[in-house]
Amino acid sequence: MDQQPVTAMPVTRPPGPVTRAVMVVLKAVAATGMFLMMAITFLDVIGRYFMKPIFGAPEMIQFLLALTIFAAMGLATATHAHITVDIFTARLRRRFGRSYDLLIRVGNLTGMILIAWQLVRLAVEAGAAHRMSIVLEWPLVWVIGPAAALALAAVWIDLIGYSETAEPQAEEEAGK
Amino acid sequence: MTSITIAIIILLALCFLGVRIGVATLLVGFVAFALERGFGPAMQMSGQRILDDAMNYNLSVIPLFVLMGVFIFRADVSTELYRAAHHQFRNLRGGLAHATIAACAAFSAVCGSSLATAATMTKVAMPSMRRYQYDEGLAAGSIAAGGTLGIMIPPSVPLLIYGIIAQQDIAALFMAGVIPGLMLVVLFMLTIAIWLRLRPGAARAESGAEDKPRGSSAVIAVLGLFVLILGGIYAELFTATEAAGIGAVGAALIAVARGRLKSLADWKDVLVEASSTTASLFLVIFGALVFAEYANYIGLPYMIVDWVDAMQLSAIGLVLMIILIAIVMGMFFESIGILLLLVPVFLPALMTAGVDLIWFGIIVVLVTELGLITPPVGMNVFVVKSIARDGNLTAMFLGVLPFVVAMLVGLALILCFPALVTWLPGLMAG
Repeated sequence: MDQQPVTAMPVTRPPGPVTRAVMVVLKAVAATGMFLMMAITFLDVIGRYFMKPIFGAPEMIQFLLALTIFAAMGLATATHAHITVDIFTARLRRRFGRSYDLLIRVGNLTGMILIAWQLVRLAVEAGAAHRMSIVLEWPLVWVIGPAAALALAAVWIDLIGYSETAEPQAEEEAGK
Repeated sequence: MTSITIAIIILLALCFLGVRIGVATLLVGFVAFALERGFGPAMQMSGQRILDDAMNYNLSVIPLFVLMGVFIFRADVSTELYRAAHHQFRNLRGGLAHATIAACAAFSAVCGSSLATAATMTKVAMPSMRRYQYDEGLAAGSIAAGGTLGIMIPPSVPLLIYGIIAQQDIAALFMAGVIPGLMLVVLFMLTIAIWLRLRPGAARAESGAEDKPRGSSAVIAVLGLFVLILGGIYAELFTATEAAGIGAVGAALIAVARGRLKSLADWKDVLVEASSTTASLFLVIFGALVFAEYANYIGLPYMIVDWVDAMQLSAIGLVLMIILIAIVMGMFFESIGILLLLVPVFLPALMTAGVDLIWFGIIVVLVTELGLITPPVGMNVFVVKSIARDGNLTAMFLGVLPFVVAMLVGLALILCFPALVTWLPGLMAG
């Protein structure tokens, strides 16, 4: 288990071994997924005009999109990339301190748990029903299962409040 | 009507408290749907909605254009674009401010992000404008306003998202954004010219400053990429999604050629940054579409159709009302959030009223642009302030006001002359 204490306010600090491993996996999957989406889209167009298009390219891109999104969900949390309305946050934080941060984290965590839970449920359903993709005829659980695991990793990042960067200056100033 | 009112109040409260917009809309949409139909159907609806959107091929256009923007940002072409623009405007009073607008437009044409454009141009243009003792408001205003061009000049992520929600042709929307984008460039430059005519002391003369033409390779690369993307879409050589993939490869090649992608770590940084931005956009998409399912289930869009009918609102009256709501929302919400919350609810009413949805898309995106530079949120201004740290925020917001007026003039022109929007897509269709 990680040694990091659960604090209300996400702070920049060295990650524990579990978090470090989670971040490495998330970055690897997100970067690979993004690169492959670009490469397959490009090669498919080139192939259409000069050779042969890639069979099932749109379906591959669909799968890569899902994996990239859920891998990057935790990365967005760790880098404060998620979109929020920050106009009152600095003021509320000054007034209510840790209890305010805790409340917001519980709210965000609930949403991330809901997403992960849905994906786990859909992965189980897809596996039980042996659902296949239409063109490539790949088992859908191959995609939904890892997507669910990546969403759970995002829940972990939210749960421990891991932050890779300090909160953006502009966001803080917006609330002043 | 009571349940939707309560849901909207809770949603706004959660957003203002600082809960992620995507999470707030998702939770409120989920709980409200569960209260109407039960927990099981709410689980089924939201799970399927999230999975369908995450695996929607058409939505892959978003990460690919985001990736293109991050590659271009990494390629560091902004300084050269700025120098080349300044060479063209060096004999005009306020040449640096004019160059800022032109460079913002060129950068936007391959970047697609307003915040990235504003951040980049602050680093590039602010030091020069300070050196020539430009009024702080003029300097910050031209950068912040120039940054907004990022979401009007194609490729633009908000236009993409609008096209997907309203089920409009992305290629037609991109074409539709070209003339309004260029019109805003002209209006911003006119604003600078009028400003300097009224207050000549707002900028010192720059005679002899950096008047050698520079940066031609960056200009050619950026314009070449823009022409390739829009030309390919226009000539129907590829779809918008394919154009995004080609654009990303092109932008990567520019970054490689300029020596900005030397190692695997450089590539990883770019890919991770693009994926992180993508995830933040998709969280908003998931939430808004789950909320829209709830709004659809209780029949909100049709309640609005009935209301519009009862009020005997004309098509233009309806559009003006939506503009007003979007302007108010723009004071607090980010452009994607406004589009996702507003468009699905009003879509049936707009269709019933016979509003051209391509024209409306440009209008609504232009209005969300306004939100980027108007207080209290005005993210572009905060970006300029956060980079030019010793600037005065009040002076910056005051400096943006003339550009807000210019955007309102642009909005009025588009409302009065829809052909400014519809002419180019019409040519493509013809």
